[in-house]
Amino acid sequence: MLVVEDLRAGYGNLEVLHGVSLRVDAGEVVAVLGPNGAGKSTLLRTISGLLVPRGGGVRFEQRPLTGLQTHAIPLLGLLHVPEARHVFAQLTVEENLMVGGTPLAGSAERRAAIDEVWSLFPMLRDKARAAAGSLSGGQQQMLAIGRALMAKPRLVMLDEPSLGLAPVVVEELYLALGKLRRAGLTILLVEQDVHAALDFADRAYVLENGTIALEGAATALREDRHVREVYLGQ
Amino acid sequence: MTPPGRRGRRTEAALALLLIWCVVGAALLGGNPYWVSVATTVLMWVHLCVAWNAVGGMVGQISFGNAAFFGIGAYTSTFLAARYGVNPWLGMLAGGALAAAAGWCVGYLPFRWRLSHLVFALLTMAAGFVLQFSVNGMRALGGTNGLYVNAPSSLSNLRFDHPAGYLLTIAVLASATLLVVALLYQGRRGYFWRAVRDNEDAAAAAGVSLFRVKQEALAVSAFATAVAGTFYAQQIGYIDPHSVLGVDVAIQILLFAVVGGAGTQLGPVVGPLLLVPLGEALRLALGGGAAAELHHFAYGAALVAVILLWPGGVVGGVRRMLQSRRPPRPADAQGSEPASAVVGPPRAPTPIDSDTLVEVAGIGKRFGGLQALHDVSFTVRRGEILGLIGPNGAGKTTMFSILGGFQRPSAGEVRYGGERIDGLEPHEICRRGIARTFQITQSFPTLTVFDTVLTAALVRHRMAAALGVAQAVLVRTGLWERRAALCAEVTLAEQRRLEVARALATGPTVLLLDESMAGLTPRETDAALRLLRSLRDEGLTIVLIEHVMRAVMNICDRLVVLDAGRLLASGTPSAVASDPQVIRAYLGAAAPGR
Amino acid sequence: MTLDLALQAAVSGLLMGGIYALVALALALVFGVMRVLNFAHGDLLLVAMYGTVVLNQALGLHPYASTLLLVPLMGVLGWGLFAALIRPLLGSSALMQAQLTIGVSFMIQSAALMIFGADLMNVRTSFESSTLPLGRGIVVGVPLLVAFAVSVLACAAVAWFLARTETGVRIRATAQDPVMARLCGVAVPRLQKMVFAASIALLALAAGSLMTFFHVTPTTGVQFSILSLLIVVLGGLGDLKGAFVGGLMIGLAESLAGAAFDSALAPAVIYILFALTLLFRPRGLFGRGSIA
Repeated sequence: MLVVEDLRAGYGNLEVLHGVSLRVDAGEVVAVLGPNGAGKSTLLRTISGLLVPRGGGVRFEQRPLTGLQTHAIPLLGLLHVPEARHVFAQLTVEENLMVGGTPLAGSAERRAAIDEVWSLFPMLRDKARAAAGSLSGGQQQMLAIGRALMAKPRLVMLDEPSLGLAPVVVEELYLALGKLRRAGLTILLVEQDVHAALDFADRAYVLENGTIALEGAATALREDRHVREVYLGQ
Repeated sequence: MTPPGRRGRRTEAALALLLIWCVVGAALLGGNPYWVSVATTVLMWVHLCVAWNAVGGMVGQISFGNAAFFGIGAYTSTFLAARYGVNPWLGMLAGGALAAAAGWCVGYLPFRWRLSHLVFALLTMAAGFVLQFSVNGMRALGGTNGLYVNAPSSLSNLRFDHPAGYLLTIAVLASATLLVVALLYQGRRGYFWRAVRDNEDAAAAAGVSLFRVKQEALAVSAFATAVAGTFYAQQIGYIDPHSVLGVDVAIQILLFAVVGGAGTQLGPVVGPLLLVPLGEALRLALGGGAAAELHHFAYGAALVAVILLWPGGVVGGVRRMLQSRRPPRPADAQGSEPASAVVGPPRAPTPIDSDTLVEVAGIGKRFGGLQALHDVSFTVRRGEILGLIGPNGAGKTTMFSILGGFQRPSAGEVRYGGERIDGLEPHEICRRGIARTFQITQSFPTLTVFDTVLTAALVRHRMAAALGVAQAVLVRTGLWERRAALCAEVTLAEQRRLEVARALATGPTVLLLDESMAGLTPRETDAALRLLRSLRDEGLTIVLIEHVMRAVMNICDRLVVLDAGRLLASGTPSAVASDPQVIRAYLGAAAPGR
Repeated sequence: MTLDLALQAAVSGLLMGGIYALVALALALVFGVMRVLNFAHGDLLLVAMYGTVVLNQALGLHPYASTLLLVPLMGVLGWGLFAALIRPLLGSSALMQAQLTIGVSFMIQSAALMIFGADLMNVRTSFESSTLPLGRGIVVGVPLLVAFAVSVLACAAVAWFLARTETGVRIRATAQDPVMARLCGVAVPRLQKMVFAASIALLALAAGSLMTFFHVTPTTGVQFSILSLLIVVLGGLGDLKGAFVGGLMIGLAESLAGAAFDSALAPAVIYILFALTLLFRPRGLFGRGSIA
């Protein structure tokens, strides 16, 4: 579904990705792991169009994404939930969802989509009229995911969803993600929490200094001490 | 050894001076009193633009309010002459002094508090308006009716029958201003000015006092502008608030200087030289009346064109054209072989005896609702390489900012050699011997590698010694061959070394390195590690923030691990790497059977 | 100053403030959505004011009628200006924006001077001198009252649009976080163009009602540019409610200061307030704006 080929990208003088290749097939959950500065967020930002690649390319459902404007990509069914959630703090929860539904055809479709989000995240419905900035970290993460779901995506990219959340909240989060996966959503997951990610994903790539250092089935990588070496530099 | 680029700068100043006197020559030879008065106007604007450029172009603190200084000069001398019979030349000096004091007052808070450039510009604009409206209401100064200058013609009265008298006077005044600014720009101060304009944080980290640099430049600008105000009053014989204090005057000064080329020595001369005669020509060609406003339209269009299409103004554009034609020059012929009388790595003057160099005790930092750091304590021992590591958002950068003086802690203290340093300004911390590098890509975009390091060296040394220090540091960090390149042009690895070089030139005892390995190839990383090791072997203490774990494990003597703002562990790399808490922080908890 | 005089000044000042509020709101809207500070904002108002005069002299149109024509015309002008003027400024430093738009201001001002001359121009209407007594000896001009009503209604309409329509919600989202808005599929560049055009169209509304009692000279533009800049900083950069209240406050302060002090000194009060806000309340008086 998503194919990344030899991707190079960076900021100014600094090249962060030195030729990254990976693939995500329909219905899979793929994790991208790696220490800080390895380029995980840069990877997602390049795929979703926030950053222009310097080499290589990305294809989503056979369609090349290079040259497309950022706001055109959600309309294709590829959604990016960035690091630190970025809810629109001064809009209400419902308004946040409304904005997420921009790619849909009309108000009626958006209303229906909002109702679906309520059923998936009932605690958000109680807060429909609250300012998004007043929600707790976990609720904001649910909102950010719900907002992405409004666009009826076929693939969602999540950047460090568990960052800054208490372990209990992280569990709830992954339960919800599990429901989505069973409903057929394809997920590309960047995670700080290696164990949580490997427990949830089917396959994983480990990024180090802008290149793929390891890849394989999540179960295999869980036991692999190379992962630990990459993170702790030994 | 002379500083590279000095010849070019001298030539430019000489050219500017030459242009001024060419204008005088051409007008006098022409003999037509009309063109003499146009030339006088041109040179007055040149004077005003050169004065504006000192603070607005060269130091980068754009002012929308120089008309206030112009008016202070005009009103002071006119008032003193009318009321107390004070000679206008003395009045000129008094006006200049008053304007300089006013400039200091306007700049005090925005520079002390490091408010944004926009705020400073708007404040100068507001100051101009307040002054204008205040004078409107002051009967002693003639209010809206203005003041007249009545004095018989003589040099001592600064009044002439023949327009050539005024022309020569303003030519001398403009030349004097140009020379003063040129002297400052080409000397030690000029390096500080350019550094502050290019990157205030990096300049502060190199030990430059931002407040002092900006206030000095503003005072010079104010004084010189006021001098022109007195001249204007004497020449025209009549002043009123609108004509000398109005915002139009202030904006036009900026306009001419920017179109000519702000920040260059020639720009403020070229701007009025091109635009004023153009305006006059348009006015003559279209006859009088409303159509004559075309020249203002042309001025506006020129400013728009320069901002959109030709950054750096006429002079900047011409320079770019000339540089693209010329083949890349090899390094300055002067001293292409590094002199053998090389000064060793410079040391900070404050000798510290104890083994503990830096003591961080109970540091906490809140940003609004977020607790970025909580009760962090550790020490830095003399001669060690200490690594500050931790997962994303752990607070490492905040800790560095506090160590470097860019942030104040909410709790706790930092001591250096027993002295409390938290709360000091960055340049004060640098002068005590702690130097920091930044992660950002271009330290001073318009400066060369050599000039960057020289600027840092000039903080502690006079020019002659600084040149030697800069050379030594560049050789040490392997950048001597690249000394003539612009900071914006060097490779990433060279940039990182340049950051280290800039820090070394300040003669530090402790070096704070901020993610200097990110993005380097393995070979470049090895070279960087070798450099750090050799610096440590010469007695430097190094603290680094790093994500590149292989580098960290390789080179650090000790590690301090932060996680979510708290100290998680500290100790040798191997101990830390096998600490289960650290492993959990990086890899997450292995929950049984999820 | 007697109480009656103060009340009269207060009332007229507040009414005028309503118009200032509309003009400032348009500027705050542009800043909020695009982070562009337009120093030629008042000069664009000037264009609409002269437009009203021209339509009146050429076609005999009453200012209210010409507003109907000018609002869409100015909207189209705004659409075009976006590409020429605003898009190049997106993302650049505030001072670059200032210098560029100051240049444009020069151009508009001198063009006006060339075309219309320096004299005051105004539009005669049948009701220009009619007044409405409000009791206690306070009298307000009817045109001013109508202008106030139009302005406040326009501001309310903008507020309603932003709060209640889907496009309005998207505009508010873009103002808060343009990058995230793009990731949600909001076509941010087109939205920015639309908001800018709308803000210029709003100026036409203000111009039409202003011309029923005000005059215009080429320097009126600069005066409004600086005034709206002042109000937007006072109210907090990008904060619409702040701009509205700021406009009312400035109208009030201007009028009261003019009545209390020697009229030459009065404007200085506004600028002192401006300077104090910049220094001590960089987020504006209400603390909700972006930091200057």
